[in-house]
Amino acid sequence: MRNDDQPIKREGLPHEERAADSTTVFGFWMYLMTDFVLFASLFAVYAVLRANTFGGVSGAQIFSLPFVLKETLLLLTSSFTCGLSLLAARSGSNRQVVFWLSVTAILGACFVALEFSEFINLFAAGNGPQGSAFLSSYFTLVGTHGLHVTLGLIWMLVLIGAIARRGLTRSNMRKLMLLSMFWHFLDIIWIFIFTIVYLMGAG
Amino acid sequence: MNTRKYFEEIGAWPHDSRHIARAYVIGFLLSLLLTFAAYFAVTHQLLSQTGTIALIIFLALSQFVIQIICFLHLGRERSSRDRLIVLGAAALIVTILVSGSIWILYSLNERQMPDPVEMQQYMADQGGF
Repeated sequence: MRNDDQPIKREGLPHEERAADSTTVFGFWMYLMTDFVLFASLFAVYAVLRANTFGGVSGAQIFSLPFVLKETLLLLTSSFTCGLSLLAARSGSNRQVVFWLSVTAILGACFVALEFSEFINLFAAGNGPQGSAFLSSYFTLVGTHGLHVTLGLIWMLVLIGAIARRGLTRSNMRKLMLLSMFWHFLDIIWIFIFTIVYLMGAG
Repeated sequence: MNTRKYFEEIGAWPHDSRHIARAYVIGFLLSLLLTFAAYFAVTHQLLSQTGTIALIIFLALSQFVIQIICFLHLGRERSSRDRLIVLGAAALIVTILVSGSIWILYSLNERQMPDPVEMQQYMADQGGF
């Protein structure tokens, strides 16, 4: 068992462990900010290419706003329940953390399933990424976000297993914090996909 | 086992985390409100097209700030200062990247492209570039 895979002692963390974990949080924040720049470049590509439909479908023809609103509400609610799992972790209840993380994972999985079905329908109608510059940039931007959410889901399932087995050890608490930052960040990126791709595309 | 203070101790939560539950609830409700506002602004077309676009971009930016504060717990505390600086730097890069790309490429479009209808016809005839 690694040193940090121990329950946190009643008197709290020693100074050096506290410093190490807050450095980890800051490092993860740095990663999120570089991811922010990555998404920004995909947004810029989309903004430039969105009118280049090559005689094919435009956004207004393929986007369904009620469907996207459903996706948005799923992801937003999952972001909230992810926060509830942190509150449960603070009060030290393993079972509540596992419960709220599972709710978060189910909502996230529904989001990915909806997005996947949207992509499948587009492919089936012959509007895959090869169709036009607009479609390529759309699939790249939304697909990259979906891939992030999928990876976050896998991470979440692994963490649920780890918390169920070993409880709220220092290492699990730290990972829970990093995962929640990742998950909230993905919801923040989705606000802009919702607004710039879907609302502006359909309007 | 003492997990009560952990998130505060590592600087991820504000030093006094008593109001953290309230922050999540407020953040969630405000985000819902802004999402629906943007949605209905588009579906009901209450404003002109430019007005709607300006409104939904404003609503998205507000939701961005609300979620950064309520969900990622960035505040005026010492512990979030480093993260704020990195966020500011990233925001600067993002602004230059996005507005610069749009500016340059739209201006290129305007200077070089024929009328879109002609261009469509040309590309259809040639089967692409």
